[in-house]
Formats: sequence, structure tokens, C-alpha cells
Amino acid sequence: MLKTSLIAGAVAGGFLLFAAGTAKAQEQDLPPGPNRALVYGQCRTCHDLQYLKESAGIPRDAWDEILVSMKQYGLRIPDDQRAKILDYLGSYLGPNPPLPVAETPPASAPAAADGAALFNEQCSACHQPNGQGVAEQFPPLAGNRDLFLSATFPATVLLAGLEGAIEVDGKRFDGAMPSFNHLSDPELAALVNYVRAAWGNDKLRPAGMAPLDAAAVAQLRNRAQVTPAGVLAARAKLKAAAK
Amino acid sequence: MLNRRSRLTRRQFGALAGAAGASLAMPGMAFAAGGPDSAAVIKGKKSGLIIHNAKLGVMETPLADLRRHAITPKEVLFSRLHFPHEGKAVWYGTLDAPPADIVNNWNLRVDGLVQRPRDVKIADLQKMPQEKRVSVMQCAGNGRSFYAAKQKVAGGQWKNGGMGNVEWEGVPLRPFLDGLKLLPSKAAVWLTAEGWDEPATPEGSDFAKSYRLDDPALDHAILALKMNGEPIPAVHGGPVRLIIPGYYGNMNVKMVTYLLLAAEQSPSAMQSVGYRIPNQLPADPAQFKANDYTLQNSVPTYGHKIKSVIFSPLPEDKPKAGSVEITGVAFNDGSSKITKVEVSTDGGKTWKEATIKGGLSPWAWQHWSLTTTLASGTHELMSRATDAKGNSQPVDGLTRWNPRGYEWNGADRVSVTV
Repeated sequence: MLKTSLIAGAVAGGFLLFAAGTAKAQEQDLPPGPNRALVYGQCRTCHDLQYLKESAGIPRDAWDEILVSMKQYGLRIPDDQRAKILDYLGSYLGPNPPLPVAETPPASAPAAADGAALFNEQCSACHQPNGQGVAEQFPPLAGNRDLFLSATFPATVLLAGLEGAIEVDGKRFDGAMPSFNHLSDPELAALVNYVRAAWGNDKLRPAGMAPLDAAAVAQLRNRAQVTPAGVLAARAKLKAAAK
Repeated sequence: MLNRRSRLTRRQFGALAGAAGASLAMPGMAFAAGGPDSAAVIKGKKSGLIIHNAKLGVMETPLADLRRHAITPKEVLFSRLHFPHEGKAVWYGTLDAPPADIVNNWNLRVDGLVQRPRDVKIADLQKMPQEKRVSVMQCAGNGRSFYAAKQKVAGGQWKNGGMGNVEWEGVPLRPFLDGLKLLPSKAAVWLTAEGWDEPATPEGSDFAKSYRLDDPALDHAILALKMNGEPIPAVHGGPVRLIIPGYYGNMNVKMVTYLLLAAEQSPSAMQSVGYRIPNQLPADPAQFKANDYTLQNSVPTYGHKIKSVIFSPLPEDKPKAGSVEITGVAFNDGSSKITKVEVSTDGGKTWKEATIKGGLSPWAWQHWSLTTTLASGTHELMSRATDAKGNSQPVDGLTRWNPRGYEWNGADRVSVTV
């Protein structure tokens, strides 16, 4: 009966819910280790993680060459991020990987997540450092009212990803946003709060919409695993309701 | 059944029949279970192809599917895109023909060191005389995984399924160029073809390929409009693809929008660094790194190196002891006949000559067969082809190790237990 009510709730909300954990199987997870999140943030703009997994086992200098190649494909990252990514790839996807270690603190741990830094590492490759996005592919975040569609909508997008064509300010975008559920609850909350305030976005905030806290993200994560297409449907419903 | 609209399901990892899917089926939705399925990655592909990179539509054909067809159907043919089929590129993530508005507005610019640059429409091409070419289409990285026996090479770990035997039809290239009366300069010695597709970020190198204009392979090249008798599926390069029979897949530029006659080859990283083979093989992994390629120390992956692949028996066929027919295909760049295919059933200690049954064109794969007796036990089957020029497959393919893992053509090996 619980299942039935969940389904009813899911359909009503435009979401698809299913057993917690299955959404993770969508991701080609890499072994946990320091700086893995940076790899997730910077590499998935152009290819998925299977490319890295299939290459696992090559030596560090070969990974270094990959990063040179990726610059030819358009990867633009600061030197410090490049060094961190190489450290991760060269060890955790190298010939003798260490035992995986958790990189993110548990959600309950007090964490001073830095939304601006997270945006830079996780989002700017697609949405661009100025939040303006890329025409037809990655929508702008600056001035994007979707950020306030509901208290938790942006967190849902981050947890599940978003796939399918959308319109923002009359312009069509059809990229595929992957899930960022590798980030912790405080990190996701900090990220949402940063993006909702940056580039003048705070002026779009509806009265009474409080900053997102980690507990709300945790609740979303534990309760519902949503598909990228489900998020698309949910967005459409929220947009319709807002009219 | 669930609606598998590619836009929604492209990366939705298509095990559609799981319990969750059955109980929560909604139109347009697919559910996660395990990895991505080929049918969800590229609309129209058969389910169960081997995915190497979903976001780039990279997949190869299991040999059990490949061997069932004289001409490889689009549903099972391998696929490899270089940029995500997202944003304005969503239209090419499918086996459907490109949409009519894209075809009608397609512009092929022919330009460079010429007195009269031209713009050509698809309708113009359709009015010109057409010719057919059956040719093996093969990814230059096909077989890359086998190089790992020396040192693993980064990239998709292709087995033998990155190839197909495909019929193309279109406008022969040289008469086309002549007919345009471009009045080229004598300095124009390179032809560069560029595709419509673009990198996911504006800083990336575009995909372009260059050929010497006096390359004899261009004598057989066509600007193809059809594949296997129908408009070229978008993911395979429609509405117009440059087909150079006998050349590796990457040289057959998809979605051609630009032909440039120039004094130099393209500086695109895809021509100048990627898809190249060192002059000296094997390369030393410690000395020749993946970005050490120069125009001097290496050449592009142009024509297919002679190759053979065993189609039967595969390990899963579980042949019975006694008389067993060993079959497969062999091909090269089409510039000379395949004259000999040898088969070993003892890991290369002894070889027997197979019967070559021929193929559909000089560039198509040639079928071969050898009936022999296999006793109970495990047998290391091998095949090795030779052509009229005396080119032969190395028994040990690792002697051609190269840092990007291209052009694997070692004698094929299949271990079967009877």
C-alpha cells in the first residue's frame, strides 16, 4: 500500500519515484577518492564517465596526455584543478589504484560548503563562469526564473539531472544534464543558495522563499530518486501551475 | 510498451523491462538498471550493442550480430560520434534520415584556392549521376583493446565489432569537383572535408580530415547520399557523407558542409594529432606519447591495413568435436586482391589455407571458409590474410602498438572449447 501511495504521489507531482539507490546505477560511478567530484564536474560536459572507466589502468603519464588531448577538444580548466584531476585519475584509475576512500563528509557533519567554489568546479564548464550558459545547449542560470519554481526544484535537478528540450526566456535548450548526487547535502544546498543569489538572481526570489538547507536536500535524496526525464515532466507541471 | 523517444531516453539506460519499469510505466519514461542500452542511446539501434560511450553514441556490434548479414543493417552497424548529440545537434542522434528542413537547407560549400567557390544543395547532388560502393566501414580504433596485452591504450576498448560491410550510393567526387569548374590554383594540393558537427565547447577543435588531392583513393570516392539503399541515417552521416572506399571510418567525414582546396592540410587536432599512426612501429610507450604526433613522424589513418576476423565458431557457439567449418571475413584498402587466408587451430603452430569465397566489391569484406576437424578440448583458432601486394597481417599485432591504439590488425584469435 505504501508503494501505491508513493506512485500516486509521484504521478501527481509529475515525478517518478522508485526504490532509493536505483538512480545511482544510472551513473557510471568512478571509485571514490579525493577530487573525484572535480572529475564529475569538469569531464561530463563532453563525454560520459564510461570513457574514463574503459581507460582505467593506464599510467599517470598517459592520463596527463589525455588532459592534453582534452584541451584540443575544448577543456579549459585552471592549473590547480588540472593537477587535482590528474592526481585522481593517475591514482584511482591508474595501474595500481588505492583502496577507495570516501571523499565527502557525511551529510550530518557540519560543513562550511562554499557555493561559489562549488559552482566554479561543478557547473561552470557548461553554464559558464558568468552563468550565461551556451546557446541551444546549456541554459543560462543568470536571470533564470526556474531556480525559484519551487523551494526544492533546483535541488531536484541537481540530484537527478535534467534531460529533454526546455525553453528559458523563449530560447530552446537541449543539453543533457547529468546527476550531481555525488555532492553532499550541505554542498548541494550551498550550491543552490549561491546560484539563487548570484548575478542578481536574488531579485527574482519570491517573498517568503527561505534559503535551502541541507536537511531539505537530505529529505529529497532519501525520499525520491527521480529520473532526468521525470524532472523534465515535473518542470512542465510547475511551469503550468505558476501561470 | 514504453515509448522510446530518443530525446527523453538517450541517456536513460534502457533496461525497460525491469520490475520498476513494469509497475511505473509512463509514456516517454525509461528506468535505470545497470548500464545504458544501445536502443536508448541512438534511436533505432538494436538493443544490446556494446556501448563504449553513451553521450557520444559510441557502440560496437557483437560479432554474433555482425556475421548474420552480407550487408550490415543500420540497426546493428557500429557508431561513433565525436561530439554530444545534444543542443542543436539533437537531430543526429537517430537512425532516421535527417529532418526535411535540415536537408532542404543543407549547404555544401566548395572553396579555397579556387577562382570560383561554389555552394551546392542536396537537391543539386541528387540530380547528378550516382554510383554505388560497397565498402567496409571500420573505426580506426577497432581492436584497440587487444593492444592492452603490451600496454593498455586510453579510449574506448573496442573489440572486433567496430566495423561493418556497407553499401553507399552517391556522386563520384572527381567528376563532381571537375563539374563545378572551380578553376583551382596549382598550389591547391590538399582537399579538406569538414562536417556540420561541432565540439561541445567553443574552444574545441572542429572535426576535419585532409587528403592529398592526387591520392588514388579519391578516384573511387563519392559524396554519398544513401546508405544501404535509403537516405543516410543521421547518426551515420546524412544527409551527405564523403565516402572513400577502403579508408578507416574517421576519414569518411559525416554531414559534410565544407570541401576546401588548399596548399596545406587542416590544422584540426583530428588531422594533426588524432587518428595518426607513427612511422616507426611498434612505438615505445616511454618515448612516443599520445600527443607527440607531428606531420613528420606519423601519417593519418588512411587505408585499412589488411585484416581478417573469425566469425564462426565464436566461443558461445560451443561447436561439437569432429568436422567444423571455420568462417570469417578479410579485407584491406581495396587496392589489391586478398589472395590468401590462412587458419590455425593450434595457436599459430601450423596453418592451413582457407577457401576465399569473395565479396561484393574490392573494398567489401571477402568471405572465407575452412572445414577442418577439431578434437575435444580447447583450441586457439587464428586467421591471417595476405594480399597480392604481399601485405600480410602480423601474427603478433602488438608489433604495431601505437599510443592511441589505432589500426589493430594482428592475426585474429578466438579460443573455443569443443
